[in-house]
Amino acid sequence: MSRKGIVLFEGLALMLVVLSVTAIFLPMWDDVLNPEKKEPKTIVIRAQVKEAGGFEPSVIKVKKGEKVRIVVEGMDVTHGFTIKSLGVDLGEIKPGEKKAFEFVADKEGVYVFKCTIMCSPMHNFMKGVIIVEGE
Amino acid sequence: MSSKILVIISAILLAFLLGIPVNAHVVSEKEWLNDPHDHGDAKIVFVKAYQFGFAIKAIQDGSKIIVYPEGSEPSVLEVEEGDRIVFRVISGDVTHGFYIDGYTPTAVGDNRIVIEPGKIVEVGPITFNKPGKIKLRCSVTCGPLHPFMVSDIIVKPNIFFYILMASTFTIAGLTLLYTSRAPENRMLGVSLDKDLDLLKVRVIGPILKRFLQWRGAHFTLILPNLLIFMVVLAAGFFGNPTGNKNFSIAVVWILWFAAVEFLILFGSRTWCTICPLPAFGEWIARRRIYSVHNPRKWTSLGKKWPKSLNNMWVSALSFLGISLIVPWLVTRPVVTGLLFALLIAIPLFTHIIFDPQRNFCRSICPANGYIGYHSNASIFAVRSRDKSVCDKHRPKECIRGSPTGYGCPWKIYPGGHNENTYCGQCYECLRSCPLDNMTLKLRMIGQDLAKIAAKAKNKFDEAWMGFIRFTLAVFYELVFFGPYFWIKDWGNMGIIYGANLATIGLLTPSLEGLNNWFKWALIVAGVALVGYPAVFYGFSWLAKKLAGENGISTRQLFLSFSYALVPYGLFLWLAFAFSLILVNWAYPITAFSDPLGWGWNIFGTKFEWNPISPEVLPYLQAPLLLIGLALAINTTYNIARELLNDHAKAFRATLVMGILHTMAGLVFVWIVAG
Ligand code: SF4
Ligand SMILES: [Cu+2]
Ligand SMILES: [Cu+2]
Repeated sequence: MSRKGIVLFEGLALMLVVLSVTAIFLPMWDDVLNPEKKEPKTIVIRAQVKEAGGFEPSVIKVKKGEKVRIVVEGMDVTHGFTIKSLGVDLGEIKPGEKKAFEFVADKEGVYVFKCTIMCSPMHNFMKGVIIVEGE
Repeated sequence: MSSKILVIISAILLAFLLGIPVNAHVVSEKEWLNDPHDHGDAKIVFVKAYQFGFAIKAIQDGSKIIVYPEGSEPSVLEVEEGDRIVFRVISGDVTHGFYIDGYTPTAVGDNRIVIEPGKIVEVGPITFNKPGKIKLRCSVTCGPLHPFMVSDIIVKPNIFFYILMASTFTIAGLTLLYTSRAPENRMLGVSLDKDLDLLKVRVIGPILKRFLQWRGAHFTLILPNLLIFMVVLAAGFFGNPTGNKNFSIAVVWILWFAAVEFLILFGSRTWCTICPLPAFGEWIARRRIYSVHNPRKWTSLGKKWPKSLNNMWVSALSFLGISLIVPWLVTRPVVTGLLFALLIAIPLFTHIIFDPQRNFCRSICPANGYIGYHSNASIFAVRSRDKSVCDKHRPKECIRGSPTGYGCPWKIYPGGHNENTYCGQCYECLRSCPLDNMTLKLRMIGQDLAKIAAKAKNKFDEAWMGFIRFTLAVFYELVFFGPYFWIKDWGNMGIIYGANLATIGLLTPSLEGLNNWFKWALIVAGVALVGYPAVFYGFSWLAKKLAGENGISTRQLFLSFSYALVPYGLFLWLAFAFSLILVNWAYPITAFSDPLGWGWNIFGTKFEWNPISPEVLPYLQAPLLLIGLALAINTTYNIARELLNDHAKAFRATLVMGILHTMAGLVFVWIVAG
């Protein structure tokens, strides 16, 4: 093979290799690849046992008057989701399942959400808050 | 403003610190066992689902109720054909599912039977009208070991089990009868001398040849796997901590693990052709990905590879080592991620420090040992067309390399070899040979086995590889699909959490967990390294006595006869692979669309777990086992014939070893069907 040919082929191959290696950055593509996040103003809450982090994120801030859609996604075992003060109860959320609700944050304050289904020894601590802030 | 932030912070603190019970409803034992409904003539079985098993707590027949005390619950539920059973199920911890092979509806969507904590779920009445052994499985992901949450139900009379036992004896007897008629150089009736030159087959041959001789072939085949490998790393470290939702587990330990066994049977070491693990090391050392580069200009310190490593001991023992942590490895993404990171780092070093050949592959890789070992039972092989041409051809490009191809990176003499063990099928010899003497061959299973076995002097490494693989097939079947929770739990160190990199701390075992793990490791390693080899040695000694052979040592018979486990072990693993893929096919397919288990659906291939006719699984596994048994006996005969040079002696030795192989077969039959 000529020198030029070698450089060409090696370069091409190297490029392909580098390209596949970038697959290691896959986790950064959540915003693009997650079908839920394509919609405007959607917040995805991932539910896993408290020992592994509980609800993620567990502190959510929204502006007063904003309309948001919240998707709760089950990760490891079956969980539940409720916000008593808003009258929201999504029932059981199995791993791989997603349940969503929408709400308009018309009142400033802190809304606590909890898991409703026994999911691990630390289940009772599986909580989070939605904070509605004024301007 | 600042006071407002304070209010918020205190509110958050309050919410997190106070663990006010949200759902404290727990079913009391009394409430559960006190069954108010009328079920007619049906029996009531009280089942408690827990992470990760089903405990039969009580059985009620009419007004009679047997309550099993804690710790003595039966692992297996036995019912009579025609029994009507109502299951009253509760959960002892988190939400589970309930699925009985062939009896409950498909486990998809709302059809799924869900066992939520705090509720009593009644399933049935189910009329068990098909005799045989079936499995009770969990159908809702309930943690890392969820796929292993299975239990056995035996519908008596278990006719199929008796039939299977009888078939085992029959097949063994028939094979022995066949060998008693002195079939020379034949395997189950097929001549071992015949083979097919794949590259001379019309249409396919030339295409295959052009492709494999193309310098980019190897690279092209590795590339997609490199990509997959990177996704495995990403998912293993950052993806969903629950194994079956994670690409690294679903693709490696379900898809790959099963597929590789079939690859061995049909393609020998084809996996090693496309394996990305040593690729970085090889490319960096050669400073080329695509073209051939003069070995004198490679980047490598070129230290000599230690002679003591020129065997498969490390490979065999690392496979055993991996198996000892298999309940973690195949359920915790981070463990798989770490293993794979290690498996890509080591060959990088070996290529740069030592002579840059496939030393890692030849001696260290945990897959190498068993793939190489079993590939001698493959129907596929890379061979020279005419060995005498190779012998006379002095330049030996297949060893030294040529401008068109590297000298064999696996350090063998491709033109002269007749065993698959260390042929990594990179096809460099197809490219370097100027005489077009190298080709691919299709042949009968075990063509070279008898010769390899007869020549095996001091190859204890390969013998023990055989024992490790053979006994582990049984343990894998037990851990993955067996009803005995304690085995799984000991291997799992009692941990209920999954883990990725961020939550790796959850895998810290308790002292009791460690203690149990040691017991499990001792049992598994003991059987694989000492128990079965000892039995095998005993039988070899008997075989020698019965054959009346004095010219050959028991040791040699033992070593040589161990090669009967090459086809036998492979077929047991094929049987295992079958159940792995037919039960869990949905996980890997889904993982391609959602590699991190984050709810993506890139290719639209999301499927719910739904086993394909799991009730017929034993019927699919049994033939594989029986083929393996027949092959083992015939192989033993061929080996004995090669060693002892006498039909009568060989047959008597085969008879003795045949009894051992039949007994081993019965153990497997008992596990899958008994
Ligand atoms: S021996 Fe191991 S690392 Fe080498 S190619 Fe085969 S599987 Fe890959
Ligand atoms: Cu929860
Ligand atoms: Cu379960």
